[in-house]
Amino acid sequence: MANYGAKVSQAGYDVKTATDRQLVFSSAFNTAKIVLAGSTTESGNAWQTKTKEITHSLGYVPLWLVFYKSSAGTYYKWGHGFGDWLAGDGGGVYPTIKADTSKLYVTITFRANGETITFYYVIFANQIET
Amino acid sequence: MIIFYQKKDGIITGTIDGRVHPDEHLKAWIGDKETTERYIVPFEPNFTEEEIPIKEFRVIDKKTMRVEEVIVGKKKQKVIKGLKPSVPFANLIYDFESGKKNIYDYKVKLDKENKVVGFIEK
Repeated sequence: MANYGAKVSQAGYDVKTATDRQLVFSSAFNTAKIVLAGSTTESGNAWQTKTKEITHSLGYVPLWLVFYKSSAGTYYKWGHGFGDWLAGDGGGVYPTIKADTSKLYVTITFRANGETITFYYVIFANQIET
Repeated sequence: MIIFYQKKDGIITGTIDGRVHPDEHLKAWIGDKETTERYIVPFEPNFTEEEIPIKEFRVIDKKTMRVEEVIVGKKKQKVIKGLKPSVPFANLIYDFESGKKNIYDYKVKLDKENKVVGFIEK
């Protein structure tokens, strides 16, 4: 079987003989690879629900992460996708985030009038489901 | 960086990070394709001129004929230091990338042929 890839060792260790613990990086490690990252924004009024679609066209359901921040808020929050009232920090939203083989869907219900939410998304090459 | 904006008013609705865009980025879209357009910020190599040492191998010890590489001078050479936006509003792109300025505080400025020619504050 072919043995190929890339490895980077820690300072003081020979990369050819270093153990996994002595490496900084190895392509053999099971790591997440980002294929798409960026942001999107949505504005609305209280109790209005909107969905923003991010088309990834990967052909499989990818691993993803979404963080979001209200225009009136201070903190970035983790959009875990299960849906949850997140009170305080300048209103709040009811985020529901889901993915299929072509898109990431970010659905939000605004709690305050004139609220703008900025979403930061990361989509990985790793598959949740083929 | 790829910037998505509303066709009707130029309001920015999303971004894809990066300076070099593989197929995955070019196939991606944010929002409704009917109502949004995308702008792929063009980047070009950032050429700078640097003084680099001219090295030659010289015999250091004639008895042992030991040879060492020594610097005998300097020459100017064009080198590529990363990529830079090849647009007149490059500084604004740097500020968007670094987060110094919030891209969503701006909208795209279009010419008569609907080409992006800059950004204006909302």
